Amino acid sequence: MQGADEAVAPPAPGVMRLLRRMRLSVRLAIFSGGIVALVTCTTFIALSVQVRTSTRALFAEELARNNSTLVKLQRENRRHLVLTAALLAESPTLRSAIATYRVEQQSGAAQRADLTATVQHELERVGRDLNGGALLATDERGRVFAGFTRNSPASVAGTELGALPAVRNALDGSLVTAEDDAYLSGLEIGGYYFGVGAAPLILDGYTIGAIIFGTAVDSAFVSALHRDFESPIVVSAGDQVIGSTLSPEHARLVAHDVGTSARPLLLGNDEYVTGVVHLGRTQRGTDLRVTLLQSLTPAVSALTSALRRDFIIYGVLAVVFAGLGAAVLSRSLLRPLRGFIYYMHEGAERDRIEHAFDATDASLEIRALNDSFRRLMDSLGGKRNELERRGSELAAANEVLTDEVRQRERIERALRESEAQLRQSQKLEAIGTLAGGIAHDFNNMLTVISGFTQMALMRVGKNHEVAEDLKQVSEAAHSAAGLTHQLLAFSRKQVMQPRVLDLEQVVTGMEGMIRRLIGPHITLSVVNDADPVRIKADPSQLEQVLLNLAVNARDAMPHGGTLTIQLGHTTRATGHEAAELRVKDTGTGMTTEVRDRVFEPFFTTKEVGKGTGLGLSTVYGIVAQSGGTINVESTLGAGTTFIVTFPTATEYPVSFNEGKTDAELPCGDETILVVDDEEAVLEFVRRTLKGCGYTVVTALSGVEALTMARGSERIDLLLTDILMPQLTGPQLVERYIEKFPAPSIIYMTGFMDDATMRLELAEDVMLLRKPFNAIELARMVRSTLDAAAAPLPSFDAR
Amino acid sequence: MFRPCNAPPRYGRYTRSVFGCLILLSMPLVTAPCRAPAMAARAVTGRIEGQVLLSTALTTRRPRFRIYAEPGPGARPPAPVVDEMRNVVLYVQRAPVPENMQPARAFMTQDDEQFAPHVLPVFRGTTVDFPNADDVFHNVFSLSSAKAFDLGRYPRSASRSVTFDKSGTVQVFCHIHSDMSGVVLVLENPFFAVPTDGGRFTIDNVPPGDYTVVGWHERVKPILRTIRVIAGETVKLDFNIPIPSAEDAGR
Repeated sequence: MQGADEAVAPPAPGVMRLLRRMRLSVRLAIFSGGIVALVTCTTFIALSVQVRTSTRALFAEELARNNSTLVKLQRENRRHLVLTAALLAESPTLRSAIATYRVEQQSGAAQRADLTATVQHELERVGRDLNGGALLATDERGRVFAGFTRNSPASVAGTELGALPAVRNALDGSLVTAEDDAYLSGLEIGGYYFGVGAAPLILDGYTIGAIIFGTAVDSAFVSALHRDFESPIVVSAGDQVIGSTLSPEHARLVAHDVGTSARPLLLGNDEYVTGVVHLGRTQRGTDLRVTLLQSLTPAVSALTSALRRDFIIYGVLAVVFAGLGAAVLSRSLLRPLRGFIYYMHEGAERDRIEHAFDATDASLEIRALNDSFRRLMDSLGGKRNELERRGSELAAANEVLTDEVRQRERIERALRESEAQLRQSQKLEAIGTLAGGIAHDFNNMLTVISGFTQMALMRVGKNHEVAEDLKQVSEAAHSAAGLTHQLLAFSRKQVMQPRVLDLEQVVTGMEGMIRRLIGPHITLSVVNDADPVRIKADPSQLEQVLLNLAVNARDAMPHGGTLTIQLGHTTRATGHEAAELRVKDTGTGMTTEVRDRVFEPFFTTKEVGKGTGLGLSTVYGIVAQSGGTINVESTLGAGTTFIVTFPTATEYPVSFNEGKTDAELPCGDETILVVDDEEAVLEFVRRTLKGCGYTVVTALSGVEALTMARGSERIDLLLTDILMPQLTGPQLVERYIEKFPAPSIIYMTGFMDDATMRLELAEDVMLLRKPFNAIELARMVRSTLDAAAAPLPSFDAR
Repeated sequence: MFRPCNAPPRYGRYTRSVFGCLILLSMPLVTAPCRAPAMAARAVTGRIEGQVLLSTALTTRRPRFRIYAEPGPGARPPAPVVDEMRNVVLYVQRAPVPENMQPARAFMTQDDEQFAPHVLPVFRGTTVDFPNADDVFHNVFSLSSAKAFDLGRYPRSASRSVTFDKSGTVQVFCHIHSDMSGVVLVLENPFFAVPTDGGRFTIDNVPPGDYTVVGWHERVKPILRTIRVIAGETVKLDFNIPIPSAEDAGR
């Protein structure tokens, strides 16, 4: 089975094939290990993601804490700025100078540059001492009166700062100390940024200006923050980076990215969470921001690598243990199965199961397997027996079938043969019909020739000088009649009318025709070593026998030879005397098989289309019908002899013309109706009968005959041709008998067709065969009329 | 003439205010010597009198702020309500100065870390004393162009004086107490007055003629009125000192 599977299955890839062929335990181990490895990997990935997420959340939280710390710091810082500014606002010098300046400016007095300088100097001094970034004094509208910034040497006087929230608030008379980020203000002086606080300058309860104190937001500020928070920091004003601990491009990215700080920011390969603290807006609306960042990468990568190490160690351990466990499990599972396999193997080797497998202690599965196996084996045994029985049955059936096939082939062959024979016989039929038609017309003409010649002979007398010539014409007509007879015999349209014949005379009469038939390369020899042999047979049928035997002999001698026709007497076949006709050839001869079947109808050894296979069978039929026998002797390569016997006849044969042409014709005075479609025949018959004294009425057709009959007196004899247009002879007779008293009837015919055949089969039907001569006619008419004088014979036309 | 302002050194809170009141009440007396020659020529001078009305906003609007979020022990006491009417000065511009005017003296006391009076109008040439009525040192000074001076630090009961020779507004501060401020309004002629608490004022002995009378307040743009003073007659003149707009006087 295994080998067959492998042969059929498509070639699997090497590894898969290897896996499939592995032991079950190994496969199980690999499978379990694989599952465990997969689970481990999946868990690792899930945990990694979780770690990353958690770390991010943790860092975001820490950053938020840092942020709020920074915010608090900034507020505190701002508060200090405000307080400082407030303290500075207490300076009497500043106050007096600014107040005096104001009053004198109002009153339109000259500008007091000394006062301004005093204020400027005071601010510079204090500002420098305070280590602040900017210290400015404004008037009560927020316009810088005088001021000092650490970085910018430019004069700041005249700068409008009233819009700064802190300044506005201070000028309003209140001091911002509350934790209100709205008053966080930035300040931009000459491109430098400050975080500022402001305090009002109040004199006598009235605000006369504000003091603005600010610390620089610059790289120093950034590094200070970095010291405090130890995380990357970017300080930016709008999109502009003021300072950062990151690389400039990253810092720019951060400055741009602010506002979407909810998601982690990717800078280079590091991932950052960000938090933004606003330091306030400058007088130009620029937002000062501190962005705190926290890189996730170091923490996450450290965690992940630790996680990975653990997972690799424990994963490998788990895989190994799972594999081992699976192997052990499969071993314990397969142990009972191995016993069973051994048992089956044994059974297979011995080709039968000797004893049942002891499965009492085995597991449920093995017991079930054993059970099934035993049932399978039982079933197989039963099946094998049945198979053997079926096999023998099948062989028998096969034999029968083979026989049937053979038989069918034989039948088919026979059918094919018979089809060919049918075609052949149809052809012969056609030829026969043609020949018959010709013979019919010939017979009519010969009747006329022969009849009138005899009438001429009678008229001129025997001794007339033309008598001999007329006799020659009559002989010739007679010979021609024989020729038509032979044609009709060939076409088997001859009416069988046995009569006593001289066999030798018949053979001699046929000699010429046989000679023509067999051709010049075959020598014909007729031997008659006995007395005249008389037999009773239908001459035309006898001729047919001779012709068929001759044709058969000819066909057996394609390269020439000798055909011998021997006549004689024998007593061998029947015990009493019989005439014997031997037809012998020197041809190829026949095998025993052929000889045995030679008289079977349609049996032929000739090529298809050459022989009908009916020739010899017809011969046999005719001979048998004539009360004779036929035998065949054959030697392969030497020749064949057909031996035909006929019972000898005691009577003497009647010749056609026994010199009675000059005899008296029997006569009468009865009325005779003659019907023939051939006018010459009609005329010959009329004159002959009239010459005998009969009253003759003639008609050219059946219809005319009926008309004539109506108009004339009683008709004693109806002499009618058989084959006529419109009404045939028998039809005419039928109609006639219906209307008129039945006369004696003689049929004339020169041709044998189906209707004639039927008539011929009926008894007492008088048949006058064309060509006939006057004597024959007169005798037949007289004898018929004489017979009618006796009681009427029953006549059945059908 | 000069009231013994430097009397017993110990002033209670009460006595201090009484003292302040005395000073305030003595104001007309201070100007009295100016009147003496006018009386002699009664028939040739006229009189200006009238009523000053202050808008409520000006009188009540005294913004305060606290430097600390919560009022604590260090919080300063609320400043005493000052009658703004006392800070108003009405004076006649460009009036001929009477002859034989005696040099006058005036006081601006430092009391309770305030200058009292806050506004002191004086005739040019008047010597103003700045007695210290507080327990603490004061250092009165001015940076004004009309009269810049620095009196240095002096203790309680001590007094320094300054003679104002030039007319103009002199802002007076204390170097120690930055909140202290006062104004000495040095005028060209002795025809000026500070309204009474009720707002009434009188300027006597004004020589006849057409004058401009100024209604002055620290934070209000000066209000000018033109009048004709006829000898022996009293000109009625009312002033309505409005809320100072931001344009006029800042905040």
